[in-house]
Amino acid sequence: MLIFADIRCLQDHNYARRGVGSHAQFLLQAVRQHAGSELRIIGLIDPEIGPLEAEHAALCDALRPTFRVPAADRPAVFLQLSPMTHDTRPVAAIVGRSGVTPVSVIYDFIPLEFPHRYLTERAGLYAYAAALQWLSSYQRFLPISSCVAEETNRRLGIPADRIYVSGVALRPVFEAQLRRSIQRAPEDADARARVLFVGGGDPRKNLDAVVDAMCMLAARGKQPILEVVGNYPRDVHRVLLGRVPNGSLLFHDRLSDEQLAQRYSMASLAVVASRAEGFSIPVIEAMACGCPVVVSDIPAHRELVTDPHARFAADDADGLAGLLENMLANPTTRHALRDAQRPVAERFTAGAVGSRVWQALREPSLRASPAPRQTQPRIAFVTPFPPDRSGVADYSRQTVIALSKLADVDVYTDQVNPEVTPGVRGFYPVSAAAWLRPDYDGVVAVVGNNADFHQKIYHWHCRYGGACIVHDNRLLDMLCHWKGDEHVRQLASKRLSRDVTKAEVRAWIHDPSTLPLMFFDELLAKAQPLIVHSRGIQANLERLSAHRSEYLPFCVYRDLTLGEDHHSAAQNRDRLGIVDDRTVIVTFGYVSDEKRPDTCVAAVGELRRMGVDAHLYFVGGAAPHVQQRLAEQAAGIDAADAIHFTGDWADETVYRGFLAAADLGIQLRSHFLGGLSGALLDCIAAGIPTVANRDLATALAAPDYVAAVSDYPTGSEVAAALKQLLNVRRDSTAHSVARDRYVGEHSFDRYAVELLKLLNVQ
Amino acid sequence: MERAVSEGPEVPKSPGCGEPQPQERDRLEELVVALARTELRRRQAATPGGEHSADAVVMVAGHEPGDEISGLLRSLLDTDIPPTS
Repeated sequence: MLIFADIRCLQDHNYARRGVGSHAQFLLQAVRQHAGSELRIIGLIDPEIGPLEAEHAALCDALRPTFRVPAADRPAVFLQLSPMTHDTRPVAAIVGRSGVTPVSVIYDFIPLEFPHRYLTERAGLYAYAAALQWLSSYQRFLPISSCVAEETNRRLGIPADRIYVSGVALRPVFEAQLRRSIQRAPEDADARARVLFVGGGDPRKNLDAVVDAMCMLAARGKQPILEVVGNYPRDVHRVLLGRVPNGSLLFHDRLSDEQLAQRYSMASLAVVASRAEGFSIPVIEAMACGCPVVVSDIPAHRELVTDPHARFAADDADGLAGLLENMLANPTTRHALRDAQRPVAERFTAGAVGSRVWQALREPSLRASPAPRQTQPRIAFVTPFPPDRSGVADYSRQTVIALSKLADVDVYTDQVNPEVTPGVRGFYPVSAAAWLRPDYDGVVAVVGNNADFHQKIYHWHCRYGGACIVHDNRLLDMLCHWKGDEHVRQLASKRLSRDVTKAEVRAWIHDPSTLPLMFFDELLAKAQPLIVHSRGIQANLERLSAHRSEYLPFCVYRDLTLGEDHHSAAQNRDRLGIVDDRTVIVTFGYVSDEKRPDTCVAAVGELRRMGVDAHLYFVGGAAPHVQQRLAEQAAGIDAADAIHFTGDWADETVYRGFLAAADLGIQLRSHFLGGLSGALLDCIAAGIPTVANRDLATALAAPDYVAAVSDYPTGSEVAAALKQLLNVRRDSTAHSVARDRYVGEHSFDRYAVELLKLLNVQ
Repeated sequence: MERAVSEGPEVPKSPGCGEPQPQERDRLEELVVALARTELRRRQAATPGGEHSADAVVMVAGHEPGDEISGLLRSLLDTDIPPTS
């Protein structure tokens, strides 16, 4: 059996050490004890809530930071340990998932009884209503008491055969008390009786009624001591101490279980006065410790204390005073009550509660193997999409075309008129739905370093998690643009364990070669898995974040039919105005310092000095001042006529023309975190012998006709590499074979198969 | 449920106590997601009544058709959930 357990209540310090957390912890232990080695528990967590203590992490075989789970290959249960306390949206991804039976613990419906106290804020009301709606979607229910079971049936219409009352187990210290015979010191007739109240700050616990009753007893000349266990604020101490005679009221904060058991053992009587409970742990604790207990007359208490003479109306302080007076005056009555009550606690040993829980989970219907898949897997692909002017959008479209042959694909994009694409089942705007719909076997978030296209995708991925393809080697620019420099400064300070300045952040943006981080941390926390297209990015992630990402080869996404274009190389040269037999060297992309254009110019100058009639073409936009600077550099090395620009922009025709016309290419980068280059990929796919710096060549697993130079090459080094590459003939059979092999290995059809494997949906 | 041990003040019974202060929009989205699922189950079971309950909530909460939260609802209502046992 496989159990996916929502353990956010164990991450949350508000619940982890209280009733909800204690019960959740017990359930996981009990299930494991009964199921033995056949069981695997996957804890579903939300890293944003906070760290999970090692003791709680050890309850699970593995942790998963997203509620998106792969298709189950064996019987699977989603065990909701606390359905009303945390964001219900992640639950949408797993409840309704094929092959996974949802089972929920139910603690109470108390907010519905006291809406004016618990549901006053609209936000809280929405959330509670949402949680109630979700309850109806579960298949099995584990209410903690019969009265909660009855409410589950009445309020939600759940039939009784889907409800299994578990009860709540005594903690070990109290179960041990149950095994001991009652040994009490002989009562000292002169000693003041002690009444124990175990509660908390919530007015529902009704300490006021107990204090009122004590005041009435004092007025009648009786002065028992009321011991109150619970972390009450000091001002409550002050107020209540002012109402009772000196020495009649004691508060105990933060008692250990051993200390609490001792207080029960020393008390003449315990009183539990709550106005409402789903279950009442102090009642069974008192019983286990041999302390007679009187309780308010509410459904949860009636199950545990069947003697009506030991109950009082919650708001009847006078009645409670009479009951206390009678009990405290009659040891025989108290002892009889104690003896009658103690067996009740036997129903709540760990073994007894564990057996009831296991009975619910071992139902045959929950242990049946999931039916074999009848349909193709369904994938939500969240991405920019053409006509968005983004290389990522183009790449995603090709991915979706290939993926659609193997899976049903819905595309989530904010492009309002997405390009018609074969195979796509539907287009939706980017929203949480991609991550929350249970009919998707996988969701893929596509992220890059451009806020315009990726910030929303990044946001939802970080919220709900799942597979994530990241195209860039850094997310700095996207985060600065979207969340501001201060956010990035704080991220970097935390990551580098020092105070990073905003000036440093600006410097990194200006010169990415100085970046000490990739800014992937937020993304990584929810990535299952993170997919990269560069061995360099993969290695750097492992080095900088100790994160093991998955690698898929970056595909050739421009359809370059080499044979036809190659034969028309001369025509292309004519069309581009290249009129002689010069050696055409191209470098693609918008001209900026990070592409080392000055090194390219120096290299061509050097090559010309070697006697090669080399001409360098910058194919892509270039700012006028950059063109001027490079032209001046070229003039200085007697190569002014050998440097050419295509203007502000190279359209597709011009771009393809140069791919066909070029003899050699140069693609350099000045930042080395394994970043990719679509331009180098195009050079490879077109079969252009190209010089690239080592980081870039490694990132693309470049073939032999890419000469790798150092990451900070001189012009001479590049020139020497170019000279070597002049020996490579683009029209040779060996060269075509190498090119075709690379294109085949970097095809989208192959990529789609490998992607589905990584999504674990095949 | 009664508290288990005497540590710290009682936790108010409102959701999301361990999270940043709940934002009303997020909580509304929670409700829309939940109601969308209820609506799907109703359609699946062909249960009469209760149609467009999620739409109603969106409108009551002041969101217009076509805005982000309505878009979310539309996408969610295309979910193909398996039959309940």
